[in-house]
Amino acid sequence: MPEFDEMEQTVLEFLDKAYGSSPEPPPYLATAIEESAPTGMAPEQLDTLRRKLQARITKGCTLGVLVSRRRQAMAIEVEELALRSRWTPDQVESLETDTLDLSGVEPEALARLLRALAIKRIGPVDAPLRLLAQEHLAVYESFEGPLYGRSRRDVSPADRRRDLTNGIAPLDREATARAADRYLREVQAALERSRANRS
Amino acid sequence: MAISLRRCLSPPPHQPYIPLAGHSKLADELWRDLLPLLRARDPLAWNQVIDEYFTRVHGWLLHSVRRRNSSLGARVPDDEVRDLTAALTDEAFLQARQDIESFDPERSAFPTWVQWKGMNRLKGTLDRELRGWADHDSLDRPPRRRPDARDHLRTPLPSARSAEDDAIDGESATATRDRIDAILTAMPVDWAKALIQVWIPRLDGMPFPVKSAASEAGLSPAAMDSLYRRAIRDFLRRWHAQDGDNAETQQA
Repeated sequence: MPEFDEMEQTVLEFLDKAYGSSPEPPPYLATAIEESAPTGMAPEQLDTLRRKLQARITKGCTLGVLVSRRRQAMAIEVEELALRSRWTPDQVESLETDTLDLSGVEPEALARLLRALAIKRIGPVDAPLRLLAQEHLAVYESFEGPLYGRSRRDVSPADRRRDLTNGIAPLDREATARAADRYLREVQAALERSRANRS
Repeated sequence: MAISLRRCLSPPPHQPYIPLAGHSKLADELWRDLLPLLRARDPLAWNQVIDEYFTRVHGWLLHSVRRRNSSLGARVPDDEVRDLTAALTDEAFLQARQDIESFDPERSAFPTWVQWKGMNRLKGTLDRELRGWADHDSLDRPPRRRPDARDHLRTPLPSARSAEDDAIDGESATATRDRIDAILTAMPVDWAKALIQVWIPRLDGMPFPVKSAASEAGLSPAAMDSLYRRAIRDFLRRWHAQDGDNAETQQA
């Protein structure tokens, strides 16, 4: 009967050879690492790292591009997506081409669209949606005096507001960030409500 | 042609998910629902799995890098270890995205597969980086440039071997892996788990892998040692039994 150390060496060499440079993990790896001890990383630190990686994946794609690619990957037509999310096909198309003004879209409606695309949390679309919300829900510093302007064909309300206030009232960045944040939280809350209703 | 969402996101009916024994079916099944979209390289699907599994993958890799750093004398400050792990986690997910066609959901769960990608990366160039740090503070050597956390991304992969070498080794390793997979899944679960639990910290260079595995598993070192010893004996018994079966088959 060989010594235990000798037997151990043999078995470990087998394991090294089989899994050392294998693209597939060994059986029981998941159960062996399931109960990992705390790492000491704060949730905010992990959140920052996660967002950086997500930005590398989306490479600056707009929300419209991402929604369009998702719909195509799921092989569903604009009409079908519109039907499922109770949007009009025109609205879906204008979202996909980044011409839909978010200030006219209720968070609840956007949540329905995301849900129809099998997105259950705001995290995966956080960065592009925040960017769009900051553009469309921009808040300008108070302006003393009258501001004249009228709606024009093919000009979105967001563009009109930006043009009217251009050079007159500066953008209030903090208030804009707060407005965008509030919008995203409302979308997230609507997603959670819809998940709770389904379960 | 439009197809239904349910059909698109559900696994095809002719391919039911039957995990191999020993490959745990993780409670959260998000990755399984998203697999067709991950294979289509849909950026939102990748962001969804990153959203869901980043903390798990990062946590395990951080423990692994720390263990390895510890085995090399703990010369790398923890801030640097965290930076290295962040880069390693990114690499693991990006490599997984590149290799998604080869992912076999019947062999492993997606997050485990990504963790393993990071582990393989750690064993290569990142390991050399940690060793570089370990050498750095030696008083016998002149000071060197402090390695940057992302240096390993600029370093070529260690495989300067010929394609034939890789093919021969790959074939042999695959055969060994299949055989060992079969043995591990036939063994009593606790023993097979103990074997893998001790093998992992040993890979990370820990001097007392049994003690480390016991601590991770929440067992006493004596209990883990007992399981591990029984596992080693059982593994070899099964290995030799298979050899005997093969010899008999050849004779027949």
